[in-house]
Amino acid sequence: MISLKTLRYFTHSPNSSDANTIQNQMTASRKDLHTSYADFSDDDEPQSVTEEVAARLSELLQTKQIPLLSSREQFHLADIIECVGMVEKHRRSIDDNAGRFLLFFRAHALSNAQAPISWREITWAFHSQSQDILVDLVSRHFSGKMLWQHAKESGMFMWMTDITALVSTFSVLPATCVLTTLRSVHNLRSSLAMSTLKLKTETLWIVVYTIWPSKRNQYYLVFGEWRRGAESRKPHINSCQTTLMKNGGKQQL
Amino acid sequence: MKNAYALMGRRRFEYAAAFFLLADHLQDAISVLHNQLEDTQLAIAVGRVYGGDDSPILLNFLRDKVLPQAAREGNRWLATWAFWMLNKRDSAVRCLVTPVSKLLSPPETPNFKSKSYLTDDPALVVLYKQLREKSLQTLRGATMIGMREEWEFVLHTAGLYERMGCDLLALDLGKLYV
Repeated sequence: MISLKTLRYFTHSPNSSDANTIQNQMTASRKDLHTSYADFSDDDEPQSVTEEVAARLSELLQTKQIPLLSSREQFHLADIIECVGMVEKHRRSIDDNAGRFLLFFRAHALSNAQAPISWREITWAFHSQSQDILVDLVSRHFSGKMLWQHAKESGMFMWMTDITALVSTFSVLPATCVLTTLRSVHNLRSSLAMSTLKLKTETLWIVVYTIWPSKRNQYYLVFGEWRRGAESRKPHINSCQTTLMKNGGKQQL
Repeated sequence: MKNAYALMGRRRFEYAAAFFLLADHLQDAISVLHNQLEDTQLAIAVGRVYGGDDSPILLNFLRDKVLPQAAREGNRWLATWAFWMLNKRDSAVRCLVTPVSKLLSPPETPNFKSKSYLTDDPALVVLYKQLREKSLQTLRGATMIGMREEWEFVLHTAGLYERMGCDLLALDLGKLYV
């Protein structure tokens, strides 16, 4: 059956004699309906947004302007495409739930929000089988210098199910925190992380060192660990620092 | 302990929590972190690291603080996570469909403030499908949801998709369910 519009095309168009095959009829009717898309064909269009497609799209978005989108919206769109491309890159090594988490984690990072990621994303990661890869990707995102605020942003201590890995990741926190404590004397989280890991001496040291510089002597008296003469105090602090560094990893003081 | 309370007085809550931990009072440490510092994640993280995932203090915290909070906020994601941690996997499935407040005893009054239409996330249906097939216990949870309730959930989700401008997804969901 040939539709009315195709018929009209057949009667008015000078090329009607060429339109022999069904294929031609179909393209003809399409041409009639949307003349501006006449040359458009979607045969070689990819079915899904792969990494290459994402790269190409974001390149286009940088050079061309999409009508009816504000530049802010266009940036946002480019961000989303970049996220999808990134997830596609890891697609083969992670499962679907991890992919969902990663997509929104990336989007969250790009949005520059300080608030932690939502519980939806935490739940996705929680039910993922590729958490070790996710942990790796997240810590690489923070370039290995994870502080509590970063861990909270990614929600990782909520979604990690392997408790041994959880503890060992948590134990990296104090190391990084202590270093910042020594630099900017008021990073409060560090002592908490330490005593969670039952590293009592270090905790006390941090506490004494940071909040009560004036009362230090008093505290040396209170805790047996510190009941040493004023002369030996300095070496002890130094030895504490070395244990901290040993616990803490490779960073330089 | 005395130090911890002194620190509380000075509003140095992190240090107070640290001293509670030194005195082996996980319970107090967690409640300082949750109540004073309002950092639920840190409270949970400390609980997990210090006591392990089956420590009764952590589980009590999840039951008494986190779940009611989820019910008040209508946050099904938080609720399903907490139920799963509590090893109540049937409830973890049920709370995706039934209102969270109904699953708690005593039932919590949800707040009736107006919410965005996106409070119920259409992606819940994906998690629901995934979890119910995960184990026998989750399947049991799913069977406790009435047919009608489930159908309304699907319809509601389809409605959300439509409102988001994803009519095809809505249609697809309806088709898959029937």
